[in-house]
Amino acid sequence: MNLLIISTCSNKLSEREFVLPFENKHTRTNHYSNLRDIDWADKILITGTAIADNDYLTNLDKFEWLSDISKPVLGICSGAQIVALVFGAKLIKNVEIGMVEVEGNLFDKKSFQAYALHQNGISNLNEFELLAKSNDSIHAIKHKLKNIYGVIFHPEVRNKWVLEKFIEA
Amino acid sequence: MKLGVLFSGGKDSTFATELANSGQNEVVCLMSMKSENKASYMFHTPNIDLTELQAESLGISLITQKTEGKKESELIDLRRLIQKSQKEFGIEGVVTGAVESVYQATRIQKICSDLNLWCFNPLWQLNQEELLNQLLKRGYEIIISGIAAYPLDEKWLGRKLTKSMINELIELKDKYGVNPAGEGGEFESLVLNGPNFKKKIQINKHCLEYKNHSGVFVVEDAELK
Repeated sequence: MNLLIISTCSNKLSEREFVLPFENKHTRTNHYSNLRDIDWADKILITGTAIADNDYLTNLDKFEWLSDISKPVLGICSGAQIVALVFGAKLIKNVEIGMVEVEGNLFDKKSFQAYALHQNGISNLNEFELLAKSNDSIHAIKHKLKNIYGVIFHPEVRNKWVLEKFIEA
Repeated sequence: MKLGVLFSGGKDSTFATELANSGQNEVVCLMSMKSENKASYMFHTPNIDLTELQAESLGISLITQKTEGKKESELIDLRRLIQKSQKEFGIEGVVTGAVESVYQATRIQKICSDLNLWCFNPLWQLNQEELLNQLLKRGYEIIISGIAAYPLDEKWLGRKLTKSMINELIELKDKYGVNPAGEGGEFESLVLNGPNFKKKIQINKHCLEYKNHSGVFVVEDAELK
């Protein structure tokens, strides 16, 4: 299984925090500004970035390929915001930092503690269904017709099962 | 980007300094909290005064802030330190050596978010054994400067980090759940030399404070050589 990791980090130093935890011998990493390996990939992960980094929001045109993709995609935090925006959902100001209780149904898990680190949240789900949320934020969504997921929390912290389930699914 | 590193002089913040000082970023200051509470949840305390020598050797300015180290007031003091660095050095981001501690990382992320600063944690989620091996490979000279967990005892104080020590720490992890990189506060470390050090720290005089699996290797006199 070839996993393409797409970095949304505008500062290389952030990649140690948001990209490196997912890398292994089955993955390749591309920055969204220079995509080379979409054809190689079986599945695609779009990473998060530093909470102060909003560059991806001014470069949404670099993600237009998502509209036509038939491969499974998982967006994390900024990655989730990107997939949401591409399919017509909206963002709201929504700061959440630290461990939060998330409930719903994500890959059959009904409730869990998750590490939140975001200042934008998703609203107006449009083409998505809600899978899980905390008291203050939507935390997991799935496109109604495609295998495109978004999670606002950071599964690299204490919830690595999310990526494992995405890869198995 | 101009960055300030939360710097204790231990292995993680020293390694984070090296990683942060490259590419599009420049570390313009090291920020040290001097906590009077030896049991601080947030800050490393043994030999914190040695950060002055380390900063000199690294050729980076040091900025310090005292704190009584009470659980929430130390966060106000930390915020003060970061604000001072913003004002004096124009930092745009803060770097930490956090590896796994959500407690530490969350508190620093919140302060950065309030102050409109970037926050970088270049060691975040790194495998503990791999972290120790990388430090050795890069030529860091590190000693154990504090211990606070069974079965660590006074024999560990002042010991140099070597490959065989890493193996011992892995055994302790399997047997007693001691985090091999000391992330749970099981031990504290002190960096004496590293790839970015212009001079090495030489310890001329030290003493041990030890009682019941808790102790400190106290450096009484040191110089750059």
